[in-house]
Amino acid sequence: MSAWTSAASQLTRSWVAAYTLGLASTVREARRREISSDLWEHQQDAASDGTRLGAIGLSIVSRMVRGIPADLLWRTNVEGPQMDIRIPFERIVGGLLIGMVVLMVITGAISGYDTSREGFESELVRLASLGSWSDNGNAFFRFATGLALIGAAAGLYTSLRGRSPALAAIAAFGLLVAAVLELVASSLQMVFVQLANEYVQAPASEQASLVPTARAVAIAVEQTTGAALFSLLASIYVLAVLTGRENLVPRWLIGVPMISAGLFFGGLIGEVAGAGDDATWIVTGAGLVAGLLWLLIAGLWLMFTPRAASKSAATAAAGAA
Amino acid sequence: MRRKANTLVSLEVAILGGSVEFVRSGEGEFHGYAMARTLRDEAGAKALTGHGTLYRALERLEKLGFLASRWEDPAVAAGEQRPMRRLYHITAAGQQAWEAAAEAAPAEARGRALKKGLAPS
Repeated sequence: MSAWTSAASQLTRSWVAAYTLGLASTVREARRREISSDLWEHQQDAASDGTRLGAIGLSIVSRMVRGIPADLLWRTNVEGPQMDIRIPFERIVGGLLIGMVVLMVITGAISGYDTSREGFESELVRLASLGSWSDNGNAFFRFATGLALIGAAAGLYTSLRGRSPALAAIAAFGLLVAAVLELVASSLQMVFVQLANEYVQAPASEQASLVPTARAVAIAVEQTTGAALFSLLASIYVLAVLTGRENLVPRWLIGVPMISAGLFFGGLIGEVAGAGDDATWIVTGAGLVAGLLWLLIAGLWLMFTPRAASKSAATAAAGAA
Repeated sequence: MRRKANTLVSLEVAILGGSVEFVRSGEGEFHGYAMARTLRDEAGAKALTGHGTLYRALERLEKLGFLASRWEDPAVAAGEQRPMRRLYHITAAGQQAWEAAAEAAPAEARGRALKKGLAPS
């Protein structure tokens, strides 16, 4: 078996493992065994026909990809009474929360332009000198973050709607808003980079005319990113309430997002009230860090602690008794 | 749009046809990959049916009572050093469903099936 055929089989097994995750073990094992058998027969049959190893791998991947819609439909139909939802449910939510840590860090890190009038022209020169890899990477990360946030919104809503439809919808909506803002920021970022490049290439007489537009775009990038972070934090607070209320995470953990909210909104109020830039930046940043801390602790807790006794599960157990 | 509970799609009809062919060839039982190969050969296609498409259709036919399945003896698989096969066979209800589907099929399709010895006698 070639490395490519082996990789194609492993990819298919991984996909089966992914879409059967959380199902009752009998259902999951039956599907996994059947696909393993199919993969083995396929390879033996194709090899005996003299099919090239590369073509066998391609055929396996093609079958997997063409079957994905049916796999998803199958999974949707299987869900319900046969689904052992508790362990994977918690781990899925935990994984999504930890994933959001990364998204928040990326969202927060890809900003920081100096948009003040005095230093802006040197900012354009600096940006233009970064090179296309860095420029495109920046826009790409924003775009990827936007898409990942859409995935996180869908995943968290699907996982949590059974616990609290309203809170799950609000949290997912906040994530979707953040996702759209990130996608907008990604586009604006590309425009900004383009303007920076035009600025350094333009004759000195034309450079001044480009600055106001570039500065407006840079400010839009900053504000869009800020709004995305705000929306992300709002989602975190709603998720904190939901998971705390359902006893999915320890009750004491609710203190972390409360501190985060206090610091973040305190920083915003300080900025409106005209407090010093450094002070408001530190307080707002501390609020963001506290939000990240909650995501990290709650995510790790859900993923690695023994099964938490959720309120809904306890209620269901009491009802059954 | 959801399809009616007992309506068979063309793939499911083809699987029933293939199952009949396995009976007529004396094999009787078949595994998933063997059916994928039969479907490909019957259709004269190059590609095998996608995993998800095939196994979802097999499961639906089993739920409808048109196919039945069993896992083969682990000792047989171990003896041949391969994964265990899930073996399917067509039921009497499946035979009837296939006959009904073949009757309802356009004359041209029925002619092709007769030529291949697949149509009900």
